[in-house]
Amino acid sequence: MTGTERYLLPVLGVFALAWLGLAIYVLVVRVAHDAARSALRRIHALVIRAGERDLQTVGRLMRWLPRRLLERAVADPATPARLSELFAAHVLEWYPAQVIRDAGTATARKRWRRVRALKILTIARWNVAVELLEDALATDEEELVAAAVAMLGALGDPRSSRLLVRTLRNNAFARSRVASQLDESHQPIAHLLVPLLRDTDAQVRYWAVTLLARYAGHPGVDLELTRCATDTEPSVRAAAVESLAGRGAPAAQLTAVALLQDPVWFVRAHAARALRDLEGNNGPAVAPLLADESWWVRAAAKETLEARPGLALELLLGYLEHEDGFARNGAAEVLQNTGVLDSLLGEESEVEAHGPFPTTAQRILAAGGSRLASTAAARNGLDPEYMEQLAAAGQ
Amino acid sequence: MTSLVRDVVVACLAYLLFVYGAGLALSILAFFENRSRVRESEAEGWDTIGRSRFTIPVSVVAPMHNEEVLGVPAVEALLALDYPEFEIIVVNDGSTDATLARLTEAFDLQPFERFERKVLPSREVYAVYRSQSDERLTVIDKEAGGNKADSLNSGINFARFRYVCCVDGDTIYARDALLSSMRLILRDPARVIGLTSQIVVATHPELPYKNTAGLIESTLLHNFQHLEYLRSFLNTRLAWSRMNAMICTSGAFMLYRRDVLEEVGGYSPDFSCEDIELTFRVHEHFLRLGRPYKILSMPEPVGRTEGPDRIKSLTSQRARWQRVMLETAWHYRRMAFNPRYGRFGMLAIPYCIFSEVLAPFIEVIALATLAVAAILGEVNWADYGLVVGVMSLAVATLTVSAIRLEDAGTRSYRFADLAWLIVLSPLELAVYRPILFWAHVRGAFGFFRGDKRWDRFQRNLREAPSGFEPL
Repeated sequence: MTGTERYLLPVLGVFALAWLGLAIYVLVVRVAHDAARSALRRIHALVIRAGERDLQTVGRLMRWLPRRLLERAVADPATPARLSELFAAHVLEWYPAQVIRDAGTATARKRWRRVRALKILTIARWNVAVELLEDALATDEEELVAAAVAMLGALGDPRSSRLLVRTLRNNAFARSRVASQLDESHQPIAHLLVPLLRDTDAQVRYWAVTLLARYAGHPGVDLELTRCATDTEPSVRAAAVESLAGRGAPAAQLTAVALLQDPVWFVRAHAARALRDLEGNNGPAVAPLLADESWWVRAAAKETLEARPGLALELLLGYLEHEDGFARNGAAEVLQNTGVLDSLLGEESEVEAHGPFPTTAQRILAAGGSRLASTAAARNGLDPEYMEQLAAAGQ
Repeated sequence: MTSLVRDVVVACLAYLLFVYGAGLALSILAFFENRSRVRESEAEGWDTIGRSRFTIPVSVVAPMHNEEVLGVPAVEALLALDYPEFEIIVVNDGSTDATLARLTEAFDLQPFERFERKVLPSREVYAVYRSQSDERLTVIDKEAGGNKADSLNSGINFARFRYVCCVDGDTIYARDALLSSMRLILRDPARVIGLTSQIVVATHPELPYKNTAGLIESTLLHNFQHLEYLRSFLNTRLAWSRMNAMICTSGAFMLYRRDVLEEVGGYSPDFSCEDIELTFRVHEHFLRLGRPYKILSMPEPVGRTEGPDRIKSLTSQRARWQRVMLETAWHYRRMAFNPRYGRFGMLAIPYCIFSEVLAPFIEVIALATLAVAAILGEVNWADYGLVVGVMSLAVATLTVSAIRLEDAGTRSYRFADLAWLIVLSPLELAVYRPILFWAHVRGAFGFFRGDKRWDRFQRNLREAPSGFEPL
């Protein structure tokens, strides 16, 4: 054996052992996992056809399964809900002290064990769960707080809702995620949200306004939301008009029309979109936004006008010769998208007329430009060059 | 001469030690990141996000150039995404085959004028098509830009939503791709500006998943690609994600906040490939301005993409990847070892330079040295065999650790497939690495020649376009 071999052979041996050891570990863990899943599937099959007697069999079976396996199964979102409930109840029946101890552990290293224990208590709906979840919310561990928020949402009782509202206010976790949980709550939460409308933090006011959309139409809430439409923070104003319009609150239309003049572009865009969902002829109020300086406001105005084509037709024709190019384009685009242009192109008088005044179709084509003309030709099986001529005649 | 050869051998061994050492360190970090992500999914679940009206809508941009085979199944998969609100913008980049005709037929497309918000530079748009069967789908037909960057910019100009997910037009995405990725973004939308995830290779990604023999394919070439992708996505990217120094948001799944893309000027057509350059540019921009940000990687596979099934196609694809790595590293060389750029400048870029940029040069030097040493009669072939054995097992150990991460997270592979991948892992160095070596050398030559072509590999052979089934 050479000197180099003396060094290399042990190194080779170490790597061979490392590779083999890791390979065996991967395969053994997988076999164990597959076996556990298979056992769970069998138990689930038993549960599905369970009479009382079968449930006793399930209980006996569960006694043979290790506690950690059952805990993992409860935590796994792939485990069927009924099975999770059974496992949670079983674990709490046999190991209540350990689960409560795990759920309250303050060691960061054991946070996932804590999450599992909290989930077991949540699924079993034990009273102590809310208190322990409140403790979890108070930590600065993001994963733990995220899990606690999801579990409070799943509990959905008044105490949980109060805690979630407090979390929203304290900004202890992503507010959109907390709001998603609150939005799913079956409990009435308006009384918890209304006080937040006067919070000093604009983000808190924003989320309160957004969540109150469910209660728009209730007189007290409408009054508060209308007041928020004059908030100093633009995002709150935008959310207020959206919430009012979401349920067609009586105050929505006036508020939205007023906010079309807001100095902030996204408030105008939200107001324009809000009008899309509201009854009434809102075209005259929205159409001037076709010439807005912001692309997004113009897009919102087009969407709203497209939603009520009949009401906006005459109005839009007036914009075809507007001094602003965006307004001309926008009006032509709306008339195209609502089918007005195609129906006009189907009328002989529109495409054949050669009088001193351009026809409506020619005016739309002229306002929309060459690509609008060529796409109209393609849709209607017309000659693109002839359409270009029509567009030119409309100018 | 003999002492020079010995010095070179020592230098090469030191290089190997560095690469494997870095690989091991990244694997350890990736283990912790993977564990956190897996446990997070257990703890939270996605149901609420999937239903919530507060889940931020996403514009998905899918560029296509000559995708008549995979275009329709890819769009069907995208339309089947399980997400509250999204739009699909397909950009037909001057295809010369029947891509547009197939899409028109499948989705009942009609041309409409739609005025774009021209914020990013891109070639001329010929027409905009709206699907009459699904209003979420828009198809942009544009002049060929010669690269994916131009198409992506064009698609972003038409995007309406706050997040843009740039994907490949030849990849079949999983139903939960958007939901699983946006879950992480929604936790901290102010700071998480970008996200990428794992892609799995397949010879025919459009084929129904359950009718194939699992994820593993019949060809060795594909299975080695599986190993390579697993190592790259799980060991490497998860580790960089944990350090917030993501080197590359994969072009097959790049989810960014639209305002960030617009702020940095969109995708650059001046590079052979757009994804890694954009990632570097975003890091450079935010670190220079001192703004907090995060770019994350997820362990979950979000889709299946077509991997080359011929050596020629594979070398062509990998040569382009090597070229863009060199182009990007050269372009952003001032960030390397610059403390102003934090971990990205001090760790990620140096890692890139040593493990990716220098690799072909070191490999050429190593081979040339071996040849000279053989001529001089200085090679002890038994020792040489032992060194190759150590290297093979070192790579294999890192690969098996990546397989473990995959199995701990998603368990996409069946038991037999896992075992087969593990058996293959020590052979990778001898069988697969020489192909990559050749591709890297070609890529390096291409870089020095100033070659910027988007030479996509030739499509795998198919009998006929077939249906698909989402993952």
